[in-house]
Amino acid sequence: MKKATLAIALAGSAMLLGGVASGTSTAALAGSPQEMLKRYAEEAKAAGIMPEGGFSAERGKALYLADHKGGKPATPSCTTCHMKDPTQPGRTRTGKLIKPMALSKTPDRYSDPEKVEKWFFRNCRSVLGRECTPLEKGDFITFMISQ
Amino acid sequence: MDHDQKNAAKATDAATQAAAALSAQRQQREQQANAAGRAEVLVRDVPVRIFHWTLVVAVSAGLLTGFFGEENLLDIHVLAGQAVAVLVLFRIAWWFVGGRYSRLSAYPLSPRKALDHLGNVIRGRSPLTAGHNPLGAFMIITLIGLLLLISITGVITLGGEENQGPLKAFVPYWLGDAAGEVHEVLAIILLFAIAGHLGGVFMETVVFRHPLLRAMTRGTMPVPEEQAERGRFILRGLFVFGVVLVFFTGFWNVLEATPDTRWRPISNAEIYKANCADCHHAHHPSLRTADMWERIMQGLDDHYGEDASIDEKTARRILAFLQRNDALHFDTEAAVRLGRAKTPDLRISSATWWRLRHEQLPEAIYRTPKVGSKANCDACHLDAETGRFDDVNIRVPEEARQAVSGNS
Repeated sequence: MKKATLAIALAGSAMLLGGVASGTSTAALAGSPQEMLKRYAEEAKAAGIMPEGGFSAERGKALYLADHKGGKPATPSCTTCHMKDPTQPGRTRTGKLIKPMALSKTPDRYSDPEKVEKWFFRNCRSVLGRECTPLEKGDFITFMISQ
Repeated sequence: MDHDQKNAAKATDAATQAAAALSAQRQQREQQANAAGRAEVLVRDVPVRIFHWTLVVAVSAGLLTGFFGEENLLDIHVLAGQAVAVLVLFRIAWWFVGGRYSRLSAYPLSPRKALDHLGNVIRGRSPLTAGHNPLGAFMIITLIGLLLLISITGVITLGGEENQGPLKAFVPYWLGDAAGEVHEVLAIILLFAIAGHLGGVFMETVVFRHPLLRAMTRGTMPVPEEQAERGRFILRGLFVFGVVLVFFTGFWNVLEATPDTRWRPISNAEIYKANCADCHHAHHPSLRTADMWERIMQGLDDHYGEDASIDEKTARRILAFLQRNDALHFDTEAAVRLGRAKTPDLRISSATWWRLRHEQLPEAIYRTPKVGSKANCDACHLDAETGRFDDVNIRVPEEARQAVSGNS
């Protein structure tokens, strides 16, 4: 009984503190594109696939624009739904607008690790028929940061 | 003296002349009255005349919006229906407390009299009466009865099909749907009844030269003085109308405010929207049944040609949300007709009802930028997110319509 009350009190104060913290420094908690890049760089190095020059916007652009095989027939490319020009809004196959992929147009992209991972997982499997490598993810984000 | 006499004579002359002019006028008026047969006396009280012409307007509005109006004119249709209901209820009350000829007791309601009158009409005669003739009396009863039934079936349909109005909490969808069918059939019968009414008035005014139109406007008919109505009944009419209006408004509003368990707003939809509404409109959970939702959630790795995988924990929470609010938890037209419909591929738009209700729209409209796809319900249904799909909330975007008509 006593333990339970204590736990509730602790949880409550933690939430309170969390609320204050998130109010004061949202950006720090939510992460940033640089943090995402750092994470993918570490993963790529661990997998031994990180090239000498690091991530490349050029490779990211090629990945983004290419027609891939192996994925689902309805979605051969990123540009099935996103625009070739990533500063333009895309459209899902059901007709919903997608905010531009370019960081300059949609500054809150590539900051929430959970969200970024969810979409890489889904969309790489839809388009490529497999999950993307940390190198591909890093190249992709590097390209979008440059736009 | 001379002067005075002259003046007096002049005055007498003037008086005689004026008197002569007056009597000439009176004579003329009497001649006119005689030409019509008898003197014009009041036979229709004021409330009954106002009732008649406002009813004409309300019924016309109801018929036009009902037969020709787009679904989103339902508000106007319902307003017309409310007016008809109030007017008809007033008229029924007026049968018992109205002027002499407005009362039901003054109607010659016997089949024998009606047959006799029919015989007269066939022989080219129709005796002028201050009230209704026997056929006319039956006609009025039929019209009022039809309008009453149409009002009742209308409000049942509104409650059952649209989850609106005083009966929305009490009428199940299937009953509203059935009442809607009856409502339509009655409206068609009403068209025939109105035609009969107009035919009768045409016969009376044109063939038998009884001024019924004048009776329904100025209130008078050329009948003997002793058959006159006893008054204009304006105050009594206002009072009775006020009482009917207050009771009707009270009935409507009090019942409409009763808690409705057939439709309710959904809470805790955040996790569902966060995960599903990025790619498509967040279809209301009542548009599929629990087992269909389960199959949809199990097949997310190939969700209509895309991988829409969600981590297991989140997927379980979303499924629970969908199943708690599934088609069997709602009694709306959309839940019954779309949600519970068996479809080969789990798509809502594969339901027969969906196809029937979208029949008038060209396929190309779904590819216009404003609509995008058949899955984008809220492109036209402003309340799609609530699961209600009310008729009054349908707005096909003008750009989409134009884009389609321009192409074809």
